[in-house]
Amino acid sequence: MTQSNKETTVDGLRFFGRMSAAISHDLKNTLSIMNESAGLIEDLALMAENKGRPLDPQRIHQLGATIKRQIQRNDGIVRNMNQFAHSVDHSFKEIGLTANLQMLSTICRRLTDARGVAVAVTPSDPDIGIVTRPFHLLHLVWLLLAWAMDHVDEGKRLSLQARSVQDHVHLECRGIAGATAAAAFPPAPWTELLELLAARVEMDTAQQAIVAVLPRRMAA
Amino acid sequence: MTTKVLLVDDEKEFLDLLGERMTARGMEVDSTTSATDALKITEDHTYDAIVLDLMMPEMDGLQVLKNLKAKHPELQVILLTGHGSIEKGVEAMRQGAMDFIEKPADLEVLTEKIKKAQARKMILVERKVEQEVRDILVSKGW
Repeated sequence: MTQSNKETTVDGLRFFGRMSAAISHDLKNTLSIMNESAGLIEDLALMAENKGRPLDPQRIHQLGATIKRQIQRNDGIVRNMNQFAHSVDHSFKEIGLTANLQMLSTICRRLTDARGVAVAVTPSDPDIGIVTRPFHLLHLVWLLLAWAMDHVDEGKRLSLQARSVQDHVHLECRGIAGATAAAAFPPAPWTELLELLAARVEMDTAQQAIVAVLPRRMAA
Repeated sequence: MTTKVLLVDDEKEFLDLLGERMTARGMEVDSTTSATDALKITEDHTYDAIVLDLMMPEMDGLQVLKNLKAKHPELQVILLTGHGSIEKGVEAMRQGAMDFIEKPADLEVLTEKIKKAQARKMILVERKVEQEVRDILVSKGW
């Protein structure tokens, strides 16, 4: 393994760890709400037993609904976590780009929110299929987002979208401040990762976007 | 004396539930989902303890802690952390947090920490008043 390979592997592990930590934070938040809901039900029951304060059925219904809502939220988080974890299963696989962009932008929302940046995915209909290295592609999307957050326009809104262009796919992250971003382009060394994906990155100043150009079907 | 607490967390439902439970235990609770608002609120109100989420959308919890302590050194801040490790908590304490507690929090443990915060703040305020009186006596030379 060359030094460059090693760095890409370590960077990949760091990315995986960072996303896993973000997921665990989201899970802790839903657990906290369920924990307080259960605690409040106990409090209300104790007040009814010990102080004769009547239990309000409406309040219990509300707390039940809160717990159910958090369970659904938890289910969504775990579904994304599962999909993300399985991105390392295959070296090459056909994946839907919109579905993967949505999954990643949801997983890293806590990190983008922390930077005060709103990230939206503009869906392709139908979704664009691409044969690629799924985990490395997600890593590249995160790098695009992280770079775009450093150079985001005043509105602090980024949008991710994919477009088919002949036998390639353009993965765009729009919303960067054209002039300052152009001065910082090309981003820090992503060479090894781009090679792994047979991709290149470009600036589209007209669209205020950083664009990853990927082959539609990578050869195994 | 009623314990006054400010809760700061970006999860509104969590704040409402925890606030209701703490109020039922005799505490006076204010809450906000915004770190910036928390800084503004502490300009006009005093609290025995501030329970602050470490990971806030507009500002990192540690940064909020730093700003709070810079303006009001006597403030007692308890950090709520979603981290599985104590690393961040230790870092927070190094930066002046009184304590930290991992999410999901046990309310009895949190209440205990809030009581300690209140006691510690009273000592600090008393010392501050003593010092102010001493300074006045020295400067006036009565």
